[in-house]
Amino acid sequence: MIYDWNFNVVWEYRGVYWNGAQTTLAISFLSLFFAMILGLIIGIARQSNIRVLSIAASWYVEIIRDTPLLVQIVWIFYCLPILVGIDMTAFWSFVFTISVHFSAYMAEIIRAGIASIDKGQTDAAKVLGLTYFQAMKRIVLPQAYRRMLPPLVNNFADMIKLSSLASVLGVYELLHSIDNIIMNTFRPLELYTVLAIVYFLIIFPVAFGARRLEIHYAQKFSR
Amino acid sequence: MTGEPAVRTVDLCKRFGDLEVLRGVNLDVEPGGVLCVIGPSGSGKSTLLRCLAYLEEDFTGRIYLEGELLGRVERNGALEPVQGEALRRVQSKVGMVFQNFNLWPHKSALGNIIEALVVVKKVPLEEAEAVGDELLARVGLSDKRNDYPSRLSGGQQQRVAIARALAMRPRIMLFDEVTSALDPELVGEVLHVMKQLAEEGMTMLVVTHEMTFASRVANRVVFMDQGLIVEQGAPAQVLKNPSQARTKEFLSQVAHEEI
Ligand SMILES: Nc1ncnc2c1ncn2[C@@H]1O[C@H](COP(=O)(O)OP(=O)(O)O)[C@@H](O)[C@H]1O
Ligand SMILES: [Mg+2]
Repeated sequence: MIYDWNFNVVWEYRGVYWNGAQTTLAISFLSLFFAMILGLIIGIARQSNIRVLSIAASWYVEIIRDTPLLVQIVWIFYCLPILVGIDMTAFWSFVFTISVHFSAYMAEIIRAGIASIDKGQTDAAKVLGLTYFQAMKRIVLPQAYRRMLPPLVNNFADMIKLSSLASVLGVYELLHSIDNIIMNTFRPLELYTVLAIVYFLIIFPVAFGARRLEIHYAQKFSR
Repeated sequence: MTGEPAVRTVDLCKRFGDLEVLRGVNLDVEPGGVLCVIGPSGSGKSTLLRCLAYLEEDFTGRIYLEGELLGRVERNGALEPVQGEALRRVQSKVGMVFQNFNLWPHKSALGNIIEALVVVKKVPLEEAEAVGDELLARVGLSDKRNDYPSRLSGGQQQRVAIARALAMRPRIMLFDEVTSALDPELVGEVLHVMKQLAEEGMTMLVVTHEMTFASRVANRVVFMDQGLIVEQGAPAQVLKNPSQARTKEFLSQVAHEEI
């Protein structure tokens, strides 16, 4: 195939890549932050002795895992405001959805991490008078995070990839920003190719970091 | 509260599903007394101690610690569970040491000892460290102050665990087979600390297979089997001259193992 590559257009619109990347990263980091907080709450609720809590948390996770993310995105953007009367911008609606979606996966990671800690650790804490939450915060989580960190970082890489779905709501993150200039320049090959490279450059260090952490902690535990 | 036993259980029962593990245990331990609990594996010894530490909350019957009901309050003749401060005040009378030490691996020896002082009792850090250093000296581990559990031998870990329990100034100490996980040459150093504690007048309940320790340090020995106290009395009587056939059988098995 003969194609006359012209990367000048990419250079010309470098500011669009830059702004799009900032929005993509803003979505990803905000979602990571909220998903971790939500995931921690749901993860601890799933582990708790209070049955109502653990059952509610299980259903939360189940519903989120068994519906498509894209459907969650449009449902929360179009339906939720009508039902509860809260208006969110497309950006915040998307951040909310991704946070909720990933909190289900993070909750599982956190639950498994907590469950991996020997019960004797909390028995000792309990006899000494630590409350459930003190034991969680000071005894269990500081040990469990080593097991939780690699899969959490992996999830973060997924979040960056899926942030591109914000384009369906018209949020000017990377993908939607580039779509927009392609409409004017008709240079999809150059623009999409560089877009893929930009995503790779953002995601690769995260994925690489997750793998390093896995190896690091695997060695630590096998000793 | 003169004349109150330090520990009293009345018809203590505990079941896990269909399995009855404690089937009506009645026990008194006088203040300053050392009670050794012996019995075959699965007879409910650990469960008894775990009830006394309120690690098993869902028992029936009564537990009195220095005359106060543990985890229950009596209303119109019925017992109801209590939580919060009312529970904590009574529960804090006991300290417990476990077979597997259960030290926190991410904290140093000193860190393990002072954790509850700082978090639960809100003792200022410097003051807590002074208490911790004193306890480390008492169990002979001043030089291991900043070492993490993974760098300590089993005997050293268990002594740290004893110091950790003592930091909260318990009135009653529970020991659940605390030397069973140790290499034989490390057993002595732990028993030595326990013997000292007994001489200082601590009330102790000791589940153990160390018959020599039981005969020398205990002032009472209880033999348990299948969730019941089969026989109890002075060590010389229970260990040397048991009246029950099951006690005799158990002791002869233990004696064979020790040869
Ligand atoms: N958390 C538990 N769930 C179910 N069964 C248990 C639990 N803890 C102990 N048991 C059972 O209770 C019985 C008594 O156990 P335990 O008190 O540990 O005996 P011992 O310390 O005398 O060996 C055993 O049959 C044991 O399997
Ligand atoms: Mg036991």
